[in-house]
Amino acid sequence: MLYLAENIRQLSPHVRLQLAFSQLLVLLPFVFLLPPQISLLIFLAPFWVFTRLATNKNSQLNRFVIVGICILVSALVFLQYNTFRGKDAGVALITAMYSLKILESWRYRDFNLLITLSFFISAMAFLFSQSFLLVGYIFVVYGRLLHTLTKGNAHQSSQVSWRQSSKLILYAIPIIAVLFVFFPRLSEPLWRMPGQLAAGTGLSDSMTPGDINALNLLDDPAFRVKVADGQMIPAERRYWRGLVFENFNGLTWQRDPLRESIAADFKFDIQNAIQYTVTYEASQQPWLVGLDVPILFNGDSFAYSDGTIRSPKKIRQRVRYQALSVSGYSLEKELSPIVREMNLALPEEGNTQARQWAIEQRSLVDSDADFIAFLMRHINQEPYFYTLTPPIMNQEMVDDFWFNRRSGFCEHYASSVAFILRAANIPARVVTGYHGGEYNELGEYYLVRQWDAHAWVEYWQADTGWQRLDPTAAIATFRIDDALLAEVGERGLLFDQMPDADPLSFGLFEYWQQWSDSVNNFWNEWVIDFSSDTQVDIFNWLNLSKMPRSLVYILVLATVALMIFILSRRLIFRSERVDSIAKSYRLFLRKLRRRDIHKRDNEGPDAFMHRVLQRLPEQREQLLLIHQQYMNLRYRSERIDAAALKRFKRSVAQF
Amino acid sequence: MTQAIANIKHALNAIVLGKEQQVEMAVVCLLAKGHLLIEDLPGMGKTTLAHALSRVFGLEFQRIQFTSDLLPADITGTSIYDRHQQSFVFHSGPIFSQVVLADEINRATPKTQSALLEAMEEQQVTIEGETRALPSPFFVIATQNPSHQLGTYPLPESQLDRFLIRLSLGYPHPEVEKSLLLNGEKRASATSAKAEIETQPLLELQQQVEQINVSESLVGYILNLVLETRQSSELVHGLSPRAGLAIVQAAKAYALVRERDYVIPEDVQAVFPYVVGHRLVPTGQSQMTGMDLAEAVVQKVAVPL
Repeated sequence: MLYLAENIRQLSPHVRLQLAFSQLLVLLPFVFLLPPQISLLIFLAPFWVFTRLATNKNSQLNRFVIVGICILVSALVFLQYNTFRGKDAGVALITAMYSLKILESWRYRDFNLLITLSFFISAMAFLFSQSFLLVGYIFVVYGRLLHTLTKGNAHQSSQVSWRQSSKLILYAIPIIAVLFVFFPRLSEPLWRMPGQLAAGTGLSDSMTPGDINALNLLDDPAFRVKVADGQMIPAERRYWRGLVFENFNGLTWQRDPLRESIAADFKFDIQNAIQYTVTYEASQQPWLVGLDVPILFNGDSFAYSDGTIRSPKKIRQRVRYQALSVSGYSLEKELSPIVREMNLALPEEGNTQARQWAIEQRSLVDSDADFIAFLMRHINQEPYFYTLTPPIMNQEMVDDFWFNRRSGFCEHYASSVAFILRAANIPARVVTGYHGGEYNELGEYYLVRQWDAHAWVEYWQADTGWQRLDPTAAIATFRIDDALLAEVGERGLLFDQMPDADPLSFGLFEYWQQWSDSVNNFWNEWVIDFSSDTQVDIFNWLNLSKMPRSLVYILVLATVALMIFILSRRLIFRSERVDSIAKSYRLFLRKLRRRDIHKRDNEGPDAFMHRVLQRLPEQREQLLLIHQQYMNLRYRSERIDAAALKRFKRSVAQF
Repeated sequence: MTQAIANIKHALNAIVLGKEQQVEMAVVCLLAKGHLLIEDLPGMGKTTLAHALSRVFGLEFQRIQFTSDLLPADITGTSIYDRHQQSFVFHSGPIFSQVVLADEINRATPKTQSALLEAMEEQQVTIEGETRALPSPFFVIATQNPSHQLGTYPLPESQLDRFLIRLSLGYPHPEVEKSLLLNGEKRASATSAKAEIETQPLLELQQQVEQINVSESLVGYILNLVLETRQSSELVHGLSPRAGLAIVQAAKAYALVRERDYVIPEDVQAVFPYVVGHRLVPTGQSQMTGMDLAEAVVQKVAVPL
């Protein structure tokens, strides 16, 4: 066949159509990753070419028009980002130019170039997301690209099967896996994209109403908890302690610096302890969370006397740690004078109405416990509302919230109740963290999302120590913002004690959510977080480090040799379709080879048997029988006789 | 039947000494209803073999000595005015015979050569608008001198293709030659040899060749051989499908000669050089003849298990 050089050979419209379609597939993930205007921009050219070709219309453009379009598109990208630098603008520009390339792809050279670029452009989506779904999709796209490449290179009349390209992709997977596990890794990335912010949000260092509000809109996972022995944590106990604030200036709650100097002294009963592993997402904060109340941590984290845990470094990437919590444990059974003072302190002035109301109401009841019960009843029976869109409060926040607005979210309630308790001479503080979390049946872990972020109150009593008090939970259910419930369904768990979910009673959608989070968790744990440390762990587990070096060399060489052997065998015997007669005859030849009689490839069976008989005259009868049976089966009969085949197989087996 | 073939071979070998293989191929060619081309130097026994073949098979025999001034009509015949009948009467040429020995075919002009070759292909001749069938069996044995000799018009490839088998006798073995020289020329015995088979049994034998079984595996082998010639860099071009059919036909006849009712790879290997030797054209650089190249192909292609 005559092959023209690739810069002369014209692309057929059919191949161009395939090419445009492949481009659309390559660009699809960027719809979710780039701004909508840019997505539209990068889709235009391939889509135009695709529809023109599909309807058999001319898709040729003047050279100057193409230049004009290129300049225009570049300008639009620049307008969007005000720069060509950085990850987003760079990716937008390169994908846009890639999409325009189809307009001037007429020769085979352009086809090769576009396919090669397509592999690269597809992989660029990993700059934005490393989800397993994207990986799956990219495998599909790569299969499609290989298919297009085969199709473009094949003769027009020949059928190109999907199977071939799928096979190539499947062959690649074990190689990818081996290289992924064994290829040497750097502990730090060599380069970073400019303008790339480290991702992650979490509880902040201080609490001003509105902070958690921002978190409440995020459905990003905050952390996942796997309990060691498969124990369940009842819904009402799922308070995940984060930070403790003991310093209030009238608006913002903060950690008291004095706390740092108070030594922790935990005494607990191991019987009630729950041991669990937390996988904590990047938060840009050093604080860690634990089930209320966390007692012990592994690693170099530091536990404070208020049940707060601090990592020595800010959490810039996902971390995993083990922790121990004790059910019903209360901190600081005996309160030191300094701490007591710290937890009764109120700002010099402001919120006078609330102070007076607290003192008055306290004097009406006999004990602190009655006062707290009264407060909860008050919240429940008076028209207090829960909403994520509270009205703007004035400077006297507690007064304004408690007496006028009466609607807000957990921070308002926690902040106000802690203020009122202090005013009534009960030591109180604010705790932030997370509440709730859904149980993933498939992965057997709890998933806590950012929208589970919460704030509650702790008060101190002489005989019991610090006790948790969640004022938000006291709000009457019917006063919870309906829109909020609809919007963030999980929030309902906060107020209604729902039983643990059974996956079978779920709808398909919930099941899919659980499944996908479970896979994502596995993916994060084993692929995204696979680092040089994990690699070393695996090598240790395989005992590679203890192996003598020469043995490792031999192992590697043997593996390579084995692969070459298998590949070469496949190449040599590729065209040979072996039926059962040939299989048996091959076995017969193998048996003869053991007696050092080798059949030449070009030797006919008759001539060969002649030689064999000369070498093995004593087995003449047996040999002649096998020979006759083979010749009859192979050359004489028109159809394979099953019984004769069986006899032949038996004769060979007996030989 | 098989006894008849054995007798024929025996009788032929008594006349053409020491050339068992070539004699066998000649018999195969006749049984396969093909035409035979014998290529050799003058005086090597070409005519003797042709003569012996026709006598032993009991067939009517005509010999045409090709010369450069031979005309087509000299082969096919012509109509001559008969005074008594007052009309033209057709006088058939030497081609109206069961065996035609075309001696030194490459000394005639291409025009005359093609007249013979057309008759070979069609088994009929058309003279002055009238189509006349040739007798059956119809068997052409052509001899030719090596084409590099003076005064020859080498047969073009398209016409070589019409011959099923090409033989070359070669010098006899010294022992054989000695006995030849001692006993005098055997040509006399060739012309006086008695027929070993009659026409009707011969036609039946030709029928039997058609019924020889060719298994799928064997066809695969033949295909591989043909494909190998098409890929070889030592050949100008590969074998045509007609050549493939010729191999099958010859192998079947060979199997019959070997008293088998099915073809085995050895049959193919035996006939392959004779069937394709004159159809393969070596490239300029190659020093090998078509026959050598055919042998090389057989050596190269594996027999499927």
